[in-house]
Amino acid sequence: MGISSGPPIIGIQNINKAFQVGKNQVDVLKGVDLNIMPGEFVILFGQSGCGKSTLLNTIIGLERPNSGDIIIRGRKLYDLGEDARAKVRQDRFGIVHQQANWIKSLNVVENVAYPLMISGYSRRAAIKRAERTLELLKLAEFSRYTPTELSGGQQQKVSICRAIINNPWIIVADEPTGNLDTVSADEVMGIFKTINEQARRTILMVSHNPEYEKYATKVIYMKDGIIEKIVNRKDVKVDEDQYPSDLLAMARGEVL
Amino acid sequence: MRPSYLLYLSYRNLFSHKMRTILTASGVAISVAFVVFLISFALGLQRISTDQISNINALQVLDVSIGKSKILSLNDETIDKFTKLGNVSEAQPQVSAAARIKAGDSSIDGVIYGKNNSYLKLDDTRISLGEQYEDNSSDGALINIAAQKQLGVSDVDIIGKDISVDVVIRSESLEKGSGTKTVKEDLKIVGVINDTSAPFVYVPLHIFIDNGVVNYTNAKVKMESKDYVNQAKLQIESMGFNTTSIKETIDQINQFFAIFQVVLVSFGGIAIIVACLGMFNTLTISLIEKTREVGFMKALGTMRSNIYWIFTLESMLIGLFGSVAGVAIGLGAGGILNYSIFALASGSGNQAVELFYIPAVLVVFILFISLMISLLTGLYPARRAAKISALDAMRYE
Repeated sequence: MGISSGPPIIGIQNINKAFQVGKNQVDVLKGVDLNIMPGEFVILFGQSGCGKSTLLNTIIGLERPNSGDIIIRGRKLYDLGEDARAKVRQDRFGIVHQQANWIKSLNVVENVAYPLMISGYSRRAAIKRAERTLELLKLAEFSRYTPTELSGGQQQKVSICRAIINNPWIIVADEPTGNLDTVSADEVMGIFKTINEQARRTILMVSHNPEYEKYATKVIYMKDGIIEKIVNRKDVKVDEDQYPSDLLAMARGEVL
Repeated sequence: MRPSYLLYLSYRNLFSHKMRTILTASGVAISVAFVVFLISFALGLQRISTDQISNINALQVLDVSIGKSKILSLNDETIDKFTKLGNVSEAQPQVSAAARIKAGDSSIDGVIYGKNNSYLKLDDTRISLGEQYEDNSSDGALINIAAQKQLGVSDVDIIGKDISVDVVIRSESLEKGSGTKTVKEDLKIVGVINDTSAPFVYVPLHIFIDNGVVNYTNAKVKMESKDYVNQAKLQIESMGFNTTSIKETIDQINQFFAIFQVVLVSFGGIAIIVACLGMFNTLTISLIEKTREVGFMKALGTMRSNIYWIFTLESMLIGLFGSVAGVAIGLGAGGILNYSIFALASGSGNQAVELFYIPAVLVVFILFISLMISLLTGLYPARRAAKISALDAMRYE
């Protein structure tokens, strides 16, 4: 299966998850086993209802599985309490949803700065870094806008800014292009590709668009709660020391 | 998350719904203003009524009279008995009689009181012109402003003015068997008493005694401290006399105002409850609106306690704005009314009173209480927001 060397960044071990719908128990994940290696661009393909979003939510610590565990860099995620898992999301994950979500009372740059604010940064430092991040994706001019004033594509790019501002190990994206037109979608995918290739951040993306296979280093096909097959498109060998420790430095060769 | 940032988030949330925030805070403000206004009204009234009589001397003094009794008499012997009671520092008698007061060509009907200088001191008699008679054997007299005005004597001429009085001495005041008699006395005015009620004259007691008076109308008994008033009252009443003391009156006034305040504060309390319901409603709606937002804030890694504080601070900010504004409105309204009364009173030549009064400590207390109430109101919505599951919240439409 995996060709990459070294320990996995995320180990998914025999995850089972069932939901109670009325009187029936619906098994959504049936013994999912998967290793995600550092530097991989993993795309999870599958039809609606195959359990891919549930798997994603389980990985980021929002959905406790009925059995099995998620190991993040050697630590069992569900041994941690709710707040400790929140802390893992704060520090380790960058999260992009299908539909961009905003704190409506804050403007674009404040929304981007939010993950830093919850980790206790000073407002000034957080805003400064948020502005740099927006500049990186050429969104600086929108920093004082209300997020909902922007187009869907722009909003999704801003939410990528928010996902990468805390310099996470892993970017998790749940159908990030699902609501976008083709041009915006390609642009957004391009950004993910750049983050993966230049800063070597691990990306885990859920999609149902087969065209995106070309971006992935590993493609996972899911059906009815099980992994049908795994295709390694490219071997990834990551020596993490070779890459900038701060992913914002990727495009400019500088560390903020 | 830094506390300052939590505060900032709450503030932004409130600011993004200006109208709703202002309306909710106004509800709080109106109720707090109502409470401040009512309490300062009650306290102001109470202060006016007790100020008129609150001289510390008066609290130690017991007024004694024979009441309706036909057998008792209040003479030198009984006064001596009072003086010998425990903890009594002095006892002073007074006689009163009807009189016709004449000055030059004008004459008026009034009351004449015989009392010595020590009685004047016990009574806290206030002089507006001239001075009290120090010599109890003189023929100096004090008249009140009402008498002065009715006699038509100017302030310039009044001191040293000669007057004569026809005093009707009742039989009860004289030795047994004597009938009512009228005597004429010539007096010299030495001072004017600051009093505008019905006309009266004060003269030293010897004026009456020289005319055969042996029974006094009433007496004042002063105790060494106000703590002994109740004890002396019992002793004197057991001799058959009637007693009243200002302490009793003040106690009754205070008791009345305590009830009055409870009634007013309950009205204010109802207003505060209504304001709280409004605030609770606003916070609940705010939570419903922000359910999705709370969900993804948690998905991004926001701790439960942070969510809790954002909502709690929101309610406290509304409470703070509302109560500060309310206190300002309440104090302002009282101040404006005080000023109007002052302007009206000085315009018409009456004594101005401060009808609204509230001590600063009480203002701070009201602020504190209303902040605590808004904190309590915010607790339930805040807890609900903190407990909600991130995924459920994000699925919420």
